[in-house]
Amino acid sequence: MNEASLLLLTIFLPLAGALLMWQVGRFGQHAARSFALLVTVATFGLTAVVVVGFPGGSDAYAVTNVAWVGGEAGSTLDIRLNVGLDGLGVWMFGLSALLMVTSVLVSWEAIRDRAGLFYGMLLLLEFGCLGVFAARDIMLFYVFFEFTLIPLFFLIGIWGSEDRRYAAMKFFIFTLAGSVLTFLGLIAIVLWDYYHAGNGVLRFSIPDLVASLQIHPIQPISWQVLIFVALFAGFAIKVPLFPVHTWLPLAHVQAPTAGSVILAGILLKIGTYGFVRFSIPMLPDAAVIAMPWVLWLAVLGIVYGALVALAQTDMKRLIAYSSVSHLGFCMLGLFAFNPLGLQGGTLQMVSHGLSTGGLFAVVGMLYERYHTREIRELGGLAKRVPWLAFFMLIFTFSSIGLPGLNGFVGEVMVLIGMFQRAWTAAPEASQTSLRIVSVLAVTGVVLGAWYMLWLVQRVFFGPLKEPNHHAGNARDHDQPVQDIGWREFFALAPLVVFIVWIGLQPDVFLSRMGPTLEQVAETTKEQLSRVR
Amino acid sequence: MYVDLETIKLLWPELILVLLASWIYIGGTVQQSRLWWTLFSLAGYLVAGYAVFSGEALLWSGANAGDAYVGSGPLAVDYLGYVMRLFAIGIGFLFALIASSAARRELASELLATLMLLAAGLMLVARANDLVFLFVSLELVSIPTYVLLYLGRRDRATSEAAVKYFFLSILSSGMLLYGITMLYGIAGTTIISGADDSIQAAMLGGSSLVELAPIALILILAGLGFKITAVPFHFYAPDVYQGATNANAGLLAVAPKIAGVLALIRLVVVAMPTVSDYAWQLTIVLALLTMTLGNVCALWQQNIRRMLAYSSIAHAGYMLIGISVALATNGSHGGVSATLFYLIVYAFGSLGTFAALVSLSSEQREISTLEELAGLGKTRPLAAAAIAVCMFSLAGIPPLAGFWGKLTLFSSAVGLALDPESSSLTFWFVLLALGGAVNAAIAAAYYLRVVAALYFQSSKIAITAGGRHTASLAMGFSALVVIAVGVLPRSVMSETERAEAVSAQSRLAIQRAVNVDQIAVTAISAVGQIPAPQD
Repeated sequence: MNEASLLLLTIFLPLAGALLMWQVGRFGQHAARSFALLVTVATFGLTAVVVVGFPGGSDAYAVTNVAWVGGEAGSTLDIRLNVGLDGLGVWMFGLSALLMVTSVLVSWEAIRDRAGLFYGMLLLLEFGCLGVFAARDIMLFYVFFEFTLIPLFFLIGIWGSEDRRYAAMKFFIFTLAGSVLTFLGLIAIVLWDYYHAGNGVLRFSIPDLVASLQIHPIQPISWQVLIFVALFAGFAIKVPLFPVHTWLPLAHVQAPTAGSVILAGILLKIGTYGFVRFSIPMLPDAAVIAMPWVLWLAVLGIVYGALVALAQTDMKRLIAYSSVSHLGFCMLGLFAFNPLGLQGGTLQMVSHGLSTGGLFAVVGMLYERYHTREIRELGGLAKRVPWLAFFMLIFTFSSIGLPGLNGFVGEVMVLIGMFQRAWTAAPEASQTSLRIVSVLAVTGVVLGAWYMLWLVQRVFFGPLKEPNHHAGNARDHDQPVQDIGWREFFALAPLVVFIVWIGLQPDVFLSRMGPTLEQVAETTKEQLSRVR
Repeated sequence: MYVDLETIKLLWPELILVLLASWIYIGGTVQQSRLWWTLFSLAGYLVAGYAVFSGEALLWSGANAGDAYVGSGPLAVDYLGYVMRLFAIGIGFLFALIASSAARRELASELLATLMLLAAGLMLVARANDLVFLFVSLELVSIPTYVLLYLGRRDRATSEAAVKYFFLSILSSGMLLYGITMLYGIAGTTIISGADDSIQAAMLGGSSLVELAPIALILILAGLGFKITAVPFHFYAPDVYQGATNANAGLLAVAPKIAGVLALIRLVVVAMPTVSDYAWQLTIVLALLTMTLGNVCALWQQNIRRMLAYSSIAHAGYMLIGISVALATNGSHGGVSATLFYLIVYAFGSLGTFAALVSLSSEQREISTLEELAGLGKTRPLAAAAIAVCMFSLAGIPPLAGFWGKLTLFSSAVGLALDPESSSLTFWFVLLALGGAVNAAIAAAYYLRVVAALYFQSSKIAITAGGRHTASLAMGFSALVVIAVGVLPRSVMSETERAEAVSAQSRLAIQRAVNVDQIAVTAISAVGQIPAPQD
């Protein structure tokens, strides 16, 4: 089997699993979760084969390109089932498959009600996530992009906490409101290309459009800015950038653990991914014009997210705000427009997925044990659940960027990239402003260490404090809670493997994404030199 | 009007339906079996469908088939007519299934026969090429609708709804007729496909009647606006839907809309594309008002039929996007195709929802509020899944049919805005596309409320009804169509694209106008007003 059909199989396997779940789910919770585990592990195995086979370089790998909507003789419409992996998508693709296994394992005991539907939705979500990062057709991307809303809507709405209904609606409508504007923007890109460069064919292929828009950039610039703003609406809400982040803490707090893991780990990255995939290479002039604005929003998000995280009393909420802060770092790196910043930002996307995915999983495990996420009700848990505390510490260190772990690599590259941009290659007009942004961003690192370590200190160290009513042992509620078992170990351990691996050998990952991202950086070079 | 044997032949499918309907009316007095008449009418639709297919399939197969062939005077033999007739038969088939569940036993035969007449009316609208013929066909849709509204249920609310609909419909027919007579007065012909030529000739000939053209346009838009529930002619819809039964509300949401949109295409896009320069501005304003008002009002509704009424208003607004594009471009840029595609997609989404409501209701209790839907995801998983699919499709979420409807509409508007040849229109159509996008987000809010009720709440009221299998069949079929068109949209889209050729006639007409020009100029120059051209 060649790599192209393997990739196709990887993407569609979860869909097949979700459809089969309709029947498997009838045999009860255990059948459903076992089957879901089987499918996600198989998908992860296939993903591993595909990702390991990725040779690097700037060309896409494992490309399948068949007609889907249109493409017959006499039709101008030609939306294709065009999938493949390149340096930008490959690691997010792998991360999606990895976090899905974790998601199934953390839901193992927690989800009892309508388990078949739950795991079916989870597999549909996996299908959507894998598709988003593999899509090479602009409409196919959008189809997957919006499709992910449906399963997560159900995951939050059915299996969430008290306020789940409101959270699910707010999440859906916020995201949709932005993404319909993105939709208009994408259509506008395709049609502009059609009228000015297309020779009478509507082109939907992303690489073709990028290449064509290099030669015939969208003119006048006001159009480009308008389309950039349209794309920005959807992607910024998804990231989420300050001030459109308000849906995120709510969705995170209300979502079941698996939902939070996927939301923070994968879905937020679709926003940042969209910027690198579409906004920067397709609309370089507008991106350069928007750079100072976006950077300011990013840094405001970093500082604001960190300060708000400091004030939180709910663990999940705290981590949700830390996501706002960390995604700000991603955006900072991406909008530095230099290879270092772009690579750092993209690596930070993966790193954040691993660390925050892990943190949400740990909080979910604590919640299963104590039925609370309130920080003040807990304390000294390292004595009670030492292994859980160990994992919590690793994820925390990864999150705050301890050297030797993955978070450090991304953060440092982002900051160096940003400083490079601000001090050596800033546009004249915004030089001071960019320097302020870079310095402010550093405070985010400090604040990040503060709120995360403080959280760990309060919850896991000091005198032991447990709420009176806790789940305890599954059979006996008076027994003390138990440390993690093998199931939970296997949910968290793979994340730690990658956290350490990226931390120690970042080059393995960077070298494969490098060429693609250098091309992206190349697209804005000319525009940047012009404004200087 | 000259009618030859050829015309009769072309009308076979409609004649079959009318004859069978009469047969059911008569036979229904003797034989009252619901099952028997259901099977009979379903078979009737199949026969009519086969007649359409066998009568015209040859005409449209092959690469050299003329998609816009217009023949036989009052009948437009074109691809639009062909596709929409098949669609009308499909809609009739599904409504027969729904009606068979919803009807009281003693009324089943009458209901089915009336529906059949309505389907025949829709088919005739689809291929009318004559002003009088079109008007009569529209009445053949309206009159059975009045009857069906009365047959639905016997209580105050239903009677009120039926009376309201009846009087307003009559009023709108009157306006439409007034507009049509003016159009006839200007054009001097009742043939729709030839009207544009005649109007242009009249314009160039300096006929003072041409000044009536804007009034004719507005009257026609008003009359048809009522049928498609465009603001400000929408106000009856919420009350009427709420008062009607679920089955009838579904019918109102689909049938008049098909008739209205088809008539709009024939009467406005084909017959009077060059009459006034502001026609498209008018429809843009109508489109923006209609979708915004529909969506915003739907947000607050608790009664599900009332909510769906506002939703159907909003969707009329979306369809007007395509009509505006068609009007502004004399039928190019995919405006007609997008409208037709959206119409089909909307019809199945809407029909599936109402069919599900019918299948969940029983004779004793009609499902009317959102609370009654609570928890059905657990107790009635199939019906809940079907409603959820239809809701997501109506909200335009991929990969369901509604998404492709939005794609075609938005890309027709954005395409026009970006076309370098029509830069003067850019602002308006960007505005229109933005309006559509913002509305898509607003609309999601109330569609999601339905899904949230189905899945996120526990049931408060036990729903016991379960015997309405034919409605469930219609529901399942519609939901499957919505999914199938979502996965393979091209199956329908390529048909509507071919059907758009109907408006190519008007483009041809403009080219022909050059010749008309010559004649007119000669005529005028004879009077000595302007000098003859130099060539």
